[in-house]
Amino acid sequence: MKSKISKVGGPKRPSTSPLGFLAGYTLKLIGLAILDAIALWFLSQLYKDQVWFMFIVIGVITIGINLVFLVEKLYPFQWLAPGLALMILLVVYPVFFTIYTAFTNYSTSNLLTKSQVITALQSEQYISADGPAFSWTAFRSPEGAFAIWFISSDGKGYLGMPGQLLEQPLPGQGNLGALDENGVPLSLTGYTRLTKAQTVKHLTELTALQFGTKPGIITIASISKAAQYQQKYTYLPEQDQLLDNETGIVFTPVNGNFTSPDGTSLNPGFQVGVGLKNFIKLSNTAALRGPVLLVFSWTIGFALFSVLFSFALGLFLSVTFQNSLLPSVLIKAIRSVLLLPYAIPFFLSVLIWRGLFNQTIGVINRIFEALFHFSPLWFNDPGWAKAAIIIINVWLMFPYMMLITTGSLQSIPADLYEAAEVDGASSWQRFWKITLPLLLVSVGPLLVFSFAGTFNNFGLIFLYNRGGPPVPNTPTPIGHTDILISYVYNLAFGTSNADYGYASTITIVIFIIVAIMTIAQFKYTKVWEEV
Amino acid sequence: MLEIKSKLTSISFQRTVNIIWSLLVAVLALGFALFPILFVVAAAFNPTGALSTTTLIPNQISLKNFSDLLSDPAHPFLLWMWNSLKVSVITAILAVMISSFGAYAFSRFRFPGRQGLLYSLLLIQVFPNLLAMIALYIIVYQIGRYFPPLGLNTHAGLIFIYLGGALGGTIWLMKGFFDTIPRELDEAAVIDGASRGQVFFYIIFPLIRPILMVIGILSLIGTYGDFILARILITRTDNFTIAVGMSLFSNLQYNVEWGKFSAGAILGAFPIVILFYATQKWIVSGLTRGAVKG
Amino acid sequence: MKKFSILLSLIALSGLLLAACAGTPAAATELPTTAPAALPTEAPTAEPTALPTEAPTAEPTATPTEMPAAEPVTLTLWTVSNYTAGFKAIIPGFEQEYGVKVILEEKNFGDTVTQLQSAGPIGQGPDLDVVQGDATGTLVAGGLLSPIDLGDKAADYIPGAIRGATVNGKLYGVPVEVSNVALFWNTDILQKAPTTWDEFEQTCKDVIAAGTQYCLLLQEGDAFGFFPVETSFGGYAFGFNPDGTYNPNDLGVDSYGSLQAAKWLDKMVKAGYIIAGTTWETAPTLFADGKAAMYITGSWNLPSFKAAGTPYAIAPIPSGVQPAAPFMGVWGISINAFSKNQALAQAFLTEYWSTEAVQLEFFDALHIPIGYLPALAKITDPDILGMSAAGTYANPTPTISAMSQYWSPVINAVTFIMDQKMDPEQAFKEAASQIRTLIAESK
Repeated sequence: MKSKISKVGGPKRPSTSPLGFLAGYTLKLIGLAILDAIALWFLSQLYKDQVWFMFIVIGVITIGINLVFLVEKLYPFQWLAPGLALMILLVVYPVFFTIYTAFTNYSTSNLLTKSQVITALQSEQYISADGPAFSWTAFRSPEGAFAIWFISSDGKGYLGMPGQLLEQPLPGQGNLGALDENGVPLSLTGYTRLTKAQTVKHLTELTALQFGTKPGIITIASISKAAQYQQKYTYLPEQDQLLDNETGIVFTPVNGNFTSPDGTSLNPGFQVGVGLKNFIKLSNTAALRGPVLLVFSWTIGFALFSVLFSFALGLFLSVTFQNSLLPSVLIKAIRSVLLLPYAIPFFLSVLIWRGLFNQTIGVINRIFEALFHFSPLWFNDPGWAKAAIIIINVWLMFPYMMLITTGSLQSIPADLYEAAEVDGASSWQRFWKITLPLLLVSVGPLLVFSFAGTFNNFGLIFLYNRGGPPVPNTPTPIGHTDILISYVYNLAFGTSNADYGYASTITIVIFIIVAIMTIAQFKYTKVWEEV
Repeated sequence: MLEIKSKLTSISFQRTVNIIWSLLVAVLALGFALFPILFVVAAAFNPTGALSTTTLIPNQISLKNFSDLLSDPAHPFLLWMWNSLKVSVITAILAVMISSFGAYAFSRFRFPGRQGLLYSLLLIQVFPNLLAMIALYIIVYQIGRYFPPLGLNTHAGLIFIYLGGALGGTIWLMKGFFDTIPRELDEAAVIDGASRGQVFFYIIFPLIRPILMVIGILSLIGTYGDFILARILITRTDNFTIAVGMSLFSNLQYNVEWGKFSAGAILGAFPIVILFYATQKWIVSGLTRGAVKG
Repeated sequence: MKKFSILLSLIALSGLLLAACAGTPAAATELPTTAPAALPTEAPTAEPTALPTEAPTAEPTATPTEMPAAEPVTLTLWTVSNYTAGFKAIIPGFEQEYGVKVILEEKNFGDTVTQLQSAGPIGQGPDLDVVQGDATGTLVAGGLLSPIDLGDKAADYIPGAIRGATVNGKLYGVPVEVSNVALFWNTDILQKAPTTWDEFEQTCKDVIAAGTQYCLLLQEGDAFGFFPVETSFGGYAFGFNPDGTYNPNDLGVDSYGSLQAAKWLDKMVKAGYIIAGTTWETAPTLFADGKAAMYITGSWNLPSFKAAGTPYAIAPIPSGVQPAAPFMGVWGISINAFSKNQALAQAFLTEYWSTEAVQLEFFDALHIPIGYLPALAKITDPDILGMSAAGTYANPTPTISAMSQYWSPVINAVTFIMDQKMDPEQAFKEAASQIRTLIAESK
């Protein structure tokens, strides 16, 4: 595919005949028309199924694309169209989703929508105290119709056909055969008696059938039980209440759960908007009374030093190999192998580093013992633990830095170096005055971006030592290597339950903090300067 | 006489210093990079399946882990690797295209909202996206209802999601690179009668090859090893990518099959390293230097 | 312009490539109702005659009941990779006996819960799901599980396991594995395992004098392994309500018993009987290499001990003022509330899973402690018997939501004591206060 696109050479004299121009324009219109057709079909389907969020997003994108391709003034956006469209759907929308969730109680116990909860509750059934319960055996005709022989708890046998009243025929009457020792007919004319295995196979069908007539409809609940099930709850739309048919208690929706007057609430709960409740909860949390400043400063330090050191190392390596006189095959091989930390699964590498840093039997401490006669406490001491984490992060990030600096170095024209050499500049001066500034123009934003990413990178922190060593005397659990995001997320995420609404709130607050830092860094590094 | 001699020795002296210095740096860097990886290799060849970070050379060496890994029909490792390669290569190509179009626009055109848009692109990527997983899952599910080839459990759907990040942070890198190519080139071509599209493909494109390759490689590595998104969107074992598949060997602390996992990690890293080796000549071409003139 | 059209066609080409990618097998999004192989059914596919009185209010999206033998029914089961081999062994029997195909999907630890939470409500979930017991409460609160009616068969399972999976009086999970930690001891170093903590101290004195480095291995911050020790001193996590459920308001971390246990731990560390600094990676190796006399751990380490040839035996954790009661870890099969095959899933559990033959087959494939009593009675594996004995008094891990606030503070407290960074009573009291704060905030 590459060979189709890239052609080295000067500009060709293009065909600018009016016909060519018209052909191009027509092609564009046809393409747009096809796109619109697909989009309109898609939108109509979404409208029909009431998937509103997608309807809006796709609608906005379609309108945008049309505008961009038809309005000449918006020509630059034609180049941006595919990227922006994807971004709006896949990045912008989830951000809005998160923001919206922050104002709801969406959590693992309030997972479903209200209508889903109503459906679920209305499908609950109960057997009234005097309602009959049966064991049953199935019979099936060659055409696939079923007949069921019910035996009630007091031993009476009934024949049931779907939709009809139960009968109590005697053996020999109608199509009934003789009864076996359990009171179940051995045969039924026109039907074969099903074995248990065969019955199980048809269970899904069987559970959909209804026997008897209202109000005493009997349904099959399981392989062993059929009964007159009543619907337990009925939803009353006008009063927005749920009536318990068995006990008569009325439940009203309160904060996402149907609650009875005496306070018992029904599971499952549903999502509702809760306004600013999550934000208020966050501002009142005990976690904020803990050593937040400590965590914050470590988070900044962690991100800063990781980026700084890995960039320095990566840049150093790319410059060295760029100017190296070793045979290029060797250099290419060295660079490729140096990529490995970036290519090995993160989980595995961190685990190995954990083992290497092990205080008693790890290789690193054995070396330290031999050379310096002391073993740093890479896990139990806050300072050494932080150092270990930064070392690991530098190891993880430097190939990336090496890669982007290698690429960016190519953009610096060679004649600049030649001119400087002629002027008598040393290689050190050449680096500082030419290489670095020009490099930072393109790489600078990426460093800012890496900083923001590292700021929120709690994967490493968690895998290394779960944020430990723990800090004593705090209102909520906190470790010395916890970063801001791992510290507060613990408030929202338990072992298997999660409060997504609260987590979204925390996300927004952290985002604001990071955004401010990012913008500040941008302004500071004046990366906006253009060449 | 003496002057000439000292000059000669000075050049060859410089050459020697350069080579020694390069070798020294290389050895140290390789040592640092490979140190933990050697233990991964050791574990891959250790038939007991233990992950020892204390002894480098295992007591027994065998290829058992590799053969177990490759011959398990329930865990088709090679298929997973192929899936990952397929998905990541296609994503990389498309991402590079989309990204370069965008960078071209930002670099060459001046339009209202340009600066704001560039800032926003960066800021929005910085939003912690823990909850995005839920949103993306629902999006792919909904799309899949009407366009099944793009739905849940399809590779096309996965590629589609990965492309959401195409206009991400790397667009800055590209734009910066574009900016170093003087506008005079563009303008000369336009005067000659070329359309914008032709300027892009015939003039700019060849000059930005290094950065295209870099971004392609970055995208490739990123999606090749992606675990989080692939795990949510791909449910059938046959469709797994390599990271998701391998995670089945490691149930987090209990019953981890370290031997197979390490063997898988090594095998999985191979294509990346080889690809990077093969494509380096387009990154460090030297062809682009001096393109300024003329 | 012309180049732009080439561009368009390139994008179209990529689109075709994408479509080609999508030609992967089994790309269907509706899992339960696809069955690639048609099952041999007993009735020939006769023309469906209009059936009288088909229930008008049948399930809205059920397979049309008029068509005999046209829609093969399938059951989808999600499991974690630990149990895959076991299910693979027993599924063919079910398929053969009942003619229902079972699709087994292997997932990561944790995913059987989190993916059910996103997939279930949109109909993409399985019929049966293997989940860890302490997630049951959360899943029930989210409306994701259906109650299971085991009838008489419920009595055939370990009572604690059934109790643990019961929420509001209804059962939501049928046990797959019921495990607990136990005291592993090295038969070369010790002649017998201590049964009380007094015996333990004497044993350690002798053992260390004889040259063994570690007497009892307890991993750094191992609150799970330390819990049975706590209970032997009278401590507990959460108290019980009269009906046997856990009471989130009765936190036992700072109870007298737990504080005694904390002081004991401190004493042991000071005496050198428990040495801090071992992790989950190093402790098994230490025990396997014979450097430790005893180790509180679970069955997950058995394979490595066996591979290393360690001379081990399994005993109950020593008792203090009362027998030790470790947490009972239960993994069970639950029914997805959104499954379209509720009764069928239930039948799998009652008719097939809850039989001695199937349970033994499952056990043979995995050698894990199952929860079905009649099958357990037939097992002679000494490891399983040893772990069972250690779990005689085990209580199910609480599934109340308050439990998720329990771990972090207690792990930290145990770490503080082992590292000698805090007074033991102070550490546990602070953990208790942190837990109460977190519980109050999560309301």
